[in-house]
Amino acid sequence: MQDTTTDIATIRQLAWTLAQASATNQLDVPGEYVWAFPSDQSFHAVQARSRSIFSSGNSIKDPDVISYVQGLHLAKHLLDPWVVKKFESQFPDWISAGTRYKLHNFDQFKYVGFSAGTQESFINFYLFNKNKRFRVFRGDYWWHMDIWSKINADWAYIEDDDLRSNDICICSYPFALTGDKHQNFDWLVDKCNRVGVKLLVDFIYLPNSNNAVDIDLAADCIEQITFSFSKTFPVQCAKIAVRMCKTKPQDPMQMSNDENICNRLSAGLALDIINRFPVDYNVTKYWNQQQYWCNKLGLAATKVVHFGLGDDYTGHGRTGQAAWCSPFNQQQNRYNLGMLYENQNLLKKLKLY
Amino acid sequence: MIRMNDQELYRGVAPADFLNEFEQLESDCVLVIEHVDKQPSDTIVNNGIIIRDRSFELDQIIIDGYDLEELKWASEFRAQDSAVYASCLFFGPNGEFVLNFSNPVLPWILKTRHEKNNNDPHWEEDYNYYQQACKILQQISPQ
Repeated sequence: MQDTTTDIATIRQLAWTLAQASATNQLDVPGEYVWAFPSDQSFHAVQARSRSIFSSGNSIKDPDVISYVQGLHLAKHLLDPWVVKKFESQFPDWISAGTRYKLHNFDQFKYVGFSAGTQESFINFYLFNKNKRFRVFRGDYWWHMDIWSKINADWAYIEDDDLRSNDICICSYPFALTGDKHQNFDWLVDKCNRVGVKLLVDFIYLPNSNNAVDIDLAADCIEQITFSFSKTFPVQCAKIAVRMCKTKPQDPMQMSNDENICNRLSAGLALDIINRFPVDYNVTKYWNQQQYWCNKLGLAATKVVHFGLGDDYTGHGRTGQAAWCSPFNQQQNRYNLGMLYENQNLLKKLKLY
Repeated sequence: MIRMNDQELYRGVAPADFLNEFEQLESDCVLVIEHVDKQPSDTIVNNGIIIRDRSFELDQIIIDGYDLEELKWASEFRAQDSAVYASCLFFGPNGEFVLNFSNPVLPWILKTRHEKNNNDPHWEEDYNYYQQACKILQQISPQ
């Protein structure tokens, strides 16, 4: 996978220390998700947390963004009937201003819809294409496979069968598992065009990426693209995302947009954020940190600034299931370095930085 | 009666909960819970059925905040009549429940569990990381 050797011992030491610091409320930046909190300071609670310290794709909990968000008066957005529209109208310009990726023919996506997290877009995608067979590459967002399995949808990994006319595809770009373009992405676009299969491109990590994405969105197969805020800014539980389409979709999510009943608090928060922070805010701020930590821990820096790749440390000493939450969540080689960036002061005090 | 390494901690009627704080410096520990003074008259049998008895059951052992859970069964009950019952939490006859463990209890729990289930080969490394993390964080925490 990489030339460097993953320093599992140091990684485990950091994981245990950050997990314990979370339990004792000593992190520089608290505010993890409920699931990510150790339930108490006991060994097993801290052990469980230590195994998820570097998991998930969620954003760096940047203290300046947190401070800014905490200072906002969000309730005022409830009184603004145009706030969702304002966000939807400004979002494409905000994305287009990014210089670290190339989205050719981005302007073909004229229909911009606020989405309650990309999961809302995905659910609508599943619903609207319920008679198709869903296809993803191995290593893409585990939630797709988990939900398809639970709702008995027809699905298969792209690697496991030819692409057929009744298929419909999703692919993240940069790819979720590697933080880079999937090696067969171009093949997939070409194949989808030839077979007449649609492809949803999920730009889940785009704002945090650096020279990973160069895509011609004019491809016929690409009709929908999605963007997530929770991977870029620490507003995960506000459920903010955007779906953009070439033609106007006819699904429940679009209906919510047409009715103007989208979540104004979240849309207002998103609007405030994009008016304050540039799209490549994290790349600019944390690129040096990524190099530092990847070098120190023997990880390969990815083109997504909060990820490094290395050997799995979470399975160490375990004989049971290592995947968190879902058997499809097999991303143990991808390290989310956010906790290291956020807790620089603490780690310096502990002489671990 | 409850004893830890021959030090008496409690004597009296079996309590619903017993909480004791004591400093244990020795590494090898023996917890003894003794059932004494039960008389034949405490057991009343009618038509072969026990209709009244004096007995109790040990439900849970928590040491240093760690529930021993299934490890409470890694014990024995030595009845007064010299019979020894392995893994017995029921105090029917007079006798003593004996649990051997090590102090601190956490590594003993991890080690014993691994010996039983063979599922945590790196328990000692994890324990050391945990100890180290607790120690260095304690050093910087405001007193």
